[in-house]
Formats: sequence, structure tokens, C-alpha cells
Amino acid sequence: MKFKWNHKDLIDVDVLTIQECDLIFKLAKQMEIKLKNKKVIKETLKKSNVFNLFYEPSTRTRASFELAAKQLGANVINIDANFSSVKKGETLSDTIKTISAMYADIIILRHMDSGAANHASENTNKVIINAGDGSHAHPTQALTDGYTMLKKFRSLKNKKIVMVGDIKHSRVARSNIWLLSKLGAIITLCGPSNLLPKNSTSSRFPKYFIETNINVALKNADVIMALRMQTERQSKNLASSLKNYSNKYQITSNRLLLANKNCLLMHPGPINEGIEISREVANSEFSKIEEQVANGVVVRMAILQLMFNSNFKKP
Amino acid sequence: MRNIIIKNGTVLNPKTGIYKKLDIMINNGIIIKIEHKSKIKQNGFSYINAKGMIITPGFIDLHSHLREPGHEYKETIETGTASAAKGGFTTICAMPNTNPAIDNIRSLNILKIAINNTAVINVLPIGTITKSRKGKALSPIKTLLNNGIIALSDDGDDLYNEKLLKNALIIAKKYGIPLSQHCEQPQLVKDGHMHEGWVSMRLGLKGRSPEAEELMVKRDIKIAEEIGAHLHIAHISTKKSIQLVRNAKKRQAHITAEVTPHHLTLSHEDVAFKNNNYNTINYITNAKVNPPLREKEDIIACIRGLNDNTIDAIATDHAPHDISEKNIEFTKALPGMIGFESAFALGMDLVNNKQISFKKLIQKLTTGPAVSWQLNKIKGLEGLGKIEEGLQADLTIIDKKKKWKNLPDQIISKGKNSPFFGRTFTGKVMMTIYKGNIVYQETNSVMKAKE
Repeated sequence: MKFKWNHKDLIDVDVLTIQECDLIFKLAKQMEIKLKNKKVIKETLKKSNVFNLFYEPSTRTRASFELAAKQLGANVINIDANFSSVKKGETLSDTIKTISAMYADIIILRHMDSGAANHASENTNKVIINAGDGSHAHPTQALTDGYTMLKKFRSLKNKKIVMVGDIKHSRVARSNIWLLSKLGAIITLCGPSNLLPKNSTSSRFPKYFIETNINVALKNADVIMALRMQTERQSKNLASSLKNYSNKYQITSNRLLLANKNCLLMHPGPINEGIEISREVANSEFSKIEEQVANGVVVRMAILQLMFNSNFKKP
Repeated sequence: MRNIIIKNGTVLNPKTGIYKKLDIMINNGIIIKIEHKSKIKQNGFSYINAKGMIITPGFIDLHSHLREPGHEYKETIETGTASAAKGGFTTICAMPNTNPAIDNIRSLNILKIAINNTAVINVLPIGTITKSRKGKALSPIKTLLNNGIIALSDDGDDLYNEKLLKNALIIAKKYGIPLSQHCEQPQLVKDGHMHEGWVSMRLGLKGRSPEAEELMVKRDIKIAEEIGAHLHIAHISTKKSIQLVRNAKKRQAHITAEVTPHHLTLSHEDVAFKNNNYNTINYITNAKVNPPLREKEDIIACIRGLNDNTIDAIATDHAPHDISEKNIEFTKALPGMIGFESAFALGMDLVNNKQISFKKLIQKLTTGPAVSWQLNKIKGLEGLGKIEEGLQADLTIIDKKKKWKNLPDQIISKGKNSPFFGRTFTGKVMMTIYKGNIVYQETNSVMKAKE
């Protein structure tokens, strides 16, 4: 398959065109078929060096990237910043420069500060893939979510997508707002008002609706995305208590009845058990949570292939 | 060279707003004669041909950070004052958030010695309100006052404790000095890195809300008004805060306010977007500043505040940082930007866009600050903001038409942290004279002093 790809980095989905998103989904589909048929695809990233540089704990994203890169034949080096020179006070830009000097082709960065991926990109000419930076962006998760939805619906045009929970601190929500509105979906944000953004005042940010009452928000929803309560990023006492939150906003089987009957229930993980989603619903037929994880691998394979073969011209 | 005759220039008196073609004769640092087409020929005088130039009183900055003592890697009195001289300033007030802070007689003396030995222009020290600016116990304000501080401030931090603020204002009133407050409610802006709005939402950064400023402005005005003390609002930045000051002034409360060049010209969008390209976001640490860059309507309110004199002065909040404190993750970058060398040019942008008049700009850089802080009442500072016979010759000579490009390698300040690099400005300070000495001279100027 021929394609044009001119991005140096993947920091967020905001810069991607609809065609580029479609390209990622098409490639991911091919990867998925090849993986299922156990076909060898190790040529794509052969002899390339992919660094997983993680400043925050992560299971699924890191493993997903590692698996994706290895499936494509790359050497994968995992760096856990908690056990590296970072502990000795090395700055992010120095770490990025050091890794770049080690014949890195692609650096996958997870960091607790919003803007860390942008900062990293300014300090290297190697490819940076943002695996989540602070509350800013998590493009590969959003693309995974978009891919998961598109496996169920042919198009997202006018589909009602409801994101529930801590939107304010969620990089997954931000990237998904960009991606899904690009793909034509209508977005409703729901949660306690102190965990929601203000009404958008700028035409330079995608449009969204705000609804604090979950029973209203879920009406006729095509997709429900429950988001993790980010206790590590919230100031204390934002949600008066997790119990109170789950009373008001937990996705339960009763609330699920308000949505369209073929709706999808998603969660980017990791789930706080019995908080965002009730246990029975999490294990129900509506839940795509495990499928999201599987899709994450093939979507990341597609992204790695595109980024590795990018036509970006170094200035 | 303390004996100079400046010929053929146009003198602007900011108090009256009148332009006149006048020659100025300076002897021993004092203006001894101002007259039209001076015929005087004097031996031992050098001549400056200021044809086509405008001569104003030397600029005054109520708010700057010179970083000495303690942070000499960011700036020193020497480099800071040289940078200020280049910007046309002849008097600057130095904020006390040094290390040690100017909260006791010993550190004040260290500062004064450094000023005496290395400053090329006039530096007026500001003392802290509280010890180590911690907001827990008052500094020895009386002692500091007797040794030359001209105002009080815990700048960078808001003095949040009302009881202490009240006591400090009572003392400030007794001695007739202003108390300058950085108004942002500390709990509300904790961990906030920029203005709370759609850009902070887009960047995923915690915001500093305009309400955090307005709450403090409102509270501080109330406390100061009841005492009858002089409260100065530092770097005011929101529409509603400005309205609060406007109302207070109508009630004859002794409230004054300053605005920075950056709050007059940049918005929160400038933190994320370069050259109006809204497709690509950036995290521009050089645009990180407290209080944060606000919204377009706030900029308009700041300009309106200058025009109706709700805002008394333009103050730079010159805040130099080392590159290592800016070339890092946005959340770790220190707030603040340098200001001396671009302040006048940014003001000229407003003039050239017809948002304020040239006279207004000069007023807000000269008489505005001098009068609002009553600096002329201080012995030796009678000449601030004035060009008169018998007064000290502090002068700024301006070419309103001069086009120039703002580039980091031409900056005198040690700090290169400015979001204004690459801009082309119209209007430049060509020469700065302090006490009759030329302390700055544009290198490519046709205007040269001749013996």
C-alpha cells in the first residue's frame, strides 16, 4: 500500500487530516488480519531501534507499544525513568539527546507534564510518539478508540458519543474530542462540574456539549466512554468522594438502558473497579474494554510503520 | 561628559503634553538652560544634534527584578541597569525578591553597595512587607524606610494574611509610601501555569483564573480604603480588576495601578500559537508569566485603563531567567520575561495602531509613575518625570520612525527570555542620559556627541 506521511512526530491527533486518520485505520486493519493469520511482518521496522521512555507507570500502553514494535521487527529498549539517570537529576531534554545519540529511530514518550512531548520534539530530530503527556494528549489511545468504534459503525457521522467522568484532567478525553469530532461525531461531556471544562469559547477548539446529569446525557448515546478518575492529577477533594461519584455517575445496567440498544461501552483503562463502571456492566456484551486493548496493538503497529517511513524533511 | 548641549530636538513635556523645539544645556548633570535656538557657544561643552528626535524625561519603571544579590547568574545590577538604560529608563524600582530578600538592614546595605558601585542609572530599592516574603511576620519596615526603600512589596507572592496586610498598610500610610501587591489568590492559582481558558484546556495545563486576581484586588482595595493607605496594584491584567480600580478612584481612594507591556500586547493564545498559526500548538515558556497573559477583551480593557488614567503607569516587570530555567518542560519553567529593552517599542506598537497617543505613552513611562508613587517628594528625586531648568538632566532621546528588529543577540540583559524576538518595531530609544552622562547610545545613530 502506498501512502504519503509527512509528520515528524505524533504528538496529538489535532494535526491529522481525516484522510490520514483513515489511512491509520486501514493499515491497522491489514495488521490485524496479518496478526490473526500469523503472517510474518517483521520486515517493516527491521533493524530499527525503538525506545520506550516512560516517566509514568503504565502497563497496557507500554506493553502495547513494545509488542507492536516487536511484531514489526524493531529492537525495543524500555527505559523506566524511575530507575534511570533521571533520578540523578538529568533533564528531559538531556535524556532525549542521549537516547537520540544511541541510534534511536523512534522515541515513545510517556510523561506526567503536559507539553513534554512537544518539548522532547524540540530537542531531537528523531521521531517522537506521544504515549501520553500530563493532561494534554494521548493520540494512540484516541486512534485506538476511533478504530474500535469504526469496527462497529461504518461511519461516526452524527453518532452521539458521551464521555463520562474526569474530563478536565484527561488526556484521553482531549485527544478523543479532537479525533471524534473530526470524524463527524457529536460529543457530550458529562461529570461533576468541577471535573468538566468550561463551555468552549473559541471556534479554534472542537465543539462539545456539557451535561452534568448523567441520565440526560446518556439518552440515545451510541458510544459511552467512561474515563478513569485520575486521583493522581486531581487537586484533593475535587469529587467529594469516590463513593458519591459512583452513585451519581457510575455506568450501571439501568443507566445503560437509556442509551441506544446497540451502543458501545468503552474505557481506556485502567478501571477503578466498581467506580466508573459497575462490575456487571463491565463484563457485559456492550463492553469493548478488552477489544480496545487488542485494537491498541494493531493501531500502534500502523502508527509505527507510518512514522518510521515518514517523508518528513528535516529542516 | 557632564556638559552637553542638545540642539535641534523637539522636547515633549509629558505633564502639559506640549511639544516645543528647544535646545537643552546641561552643566554638571543639571539642566541649566532650556531655550529656542540657543546661540550660546561654550567651551568644554559637547554638542548633540537631535534633529528629528523627540526628547522626553528619562523613563521610570516601578517594577523590575535585578536579581542581585543572590541570583547573579540571571542578572546583576550592572547588566540590569545597562539593559534598562538601553530601554530609555533612568530610574527603576527594584523588587526585593532577591536572596537574601530585602527584608533587613544588612541585605538592604548589600544591595545599596552594589547599586553604588555598578548601577549606570538610578535604582530605587523596594523592601519586602514580610520577612523572607513568607507572609508570616512583618519586616522591620521602619528601619528599611529610614535606609532608603521607597515602597513595600512581597512581589511574586500575594500577601494573603489580612491581619498582616492591614498592619503593613497602617505603617505604609504613616510613612506615606505605597504598598505594591501582586494580586492572585494563592490557593486558586496553585499549580496553575497559564490563564484559565480555552487555551489552557487545549494544552492540558492547569489554569490561573481571572477571578483569583479580581478577588484579591477587591479585598485589598477594601482594606486599604478603610485605612486610607496607598495601595498599588502591580501588573493588573483583567477587565474586572481594572473596573474595580476605576471605581475605587472615583471614590477618591488612594489606589494606583500599573500594567506591563506584555499584558497590553499579548493574549493567552500567544502561549500556544506562533504567527497566528492555530493548527500547531506549542508550549512557549517565554510567554509563561504571572499574572498570566489574558484574553483579548482584557487587553482592550488594559488599553482603555491607560487612556482614562485608571492605570497610572506602564511597568516592565523585567524578570530575567537563565536559559536552563526556560528551556525545560512548560510546567517546570519559571514565570516571567525580560522587559526593559522592548517596553517602549511595544508601547509604540499601540501608538502606531492608534490605540493610545504618543503623549499618553510617554506620560505612562514618566510622569505617571513619578506622580503615582510621589517620587518627586523624595529628596534628590525632584526632577523625575520633568525637563526643567535647575533639575537633574535625566533624558531619553527617541526616534519615532526608526525601524528595528528585536533579536536575542542584541539584548544587553543577561536574560534572553522574551516572547518578542523576531518582531520588527517602529520607534526606538536612540540615547539615554542620566545625570548628564550618556548611559546608552544607539550604535548606528547619526546623532553623535561632538566636542
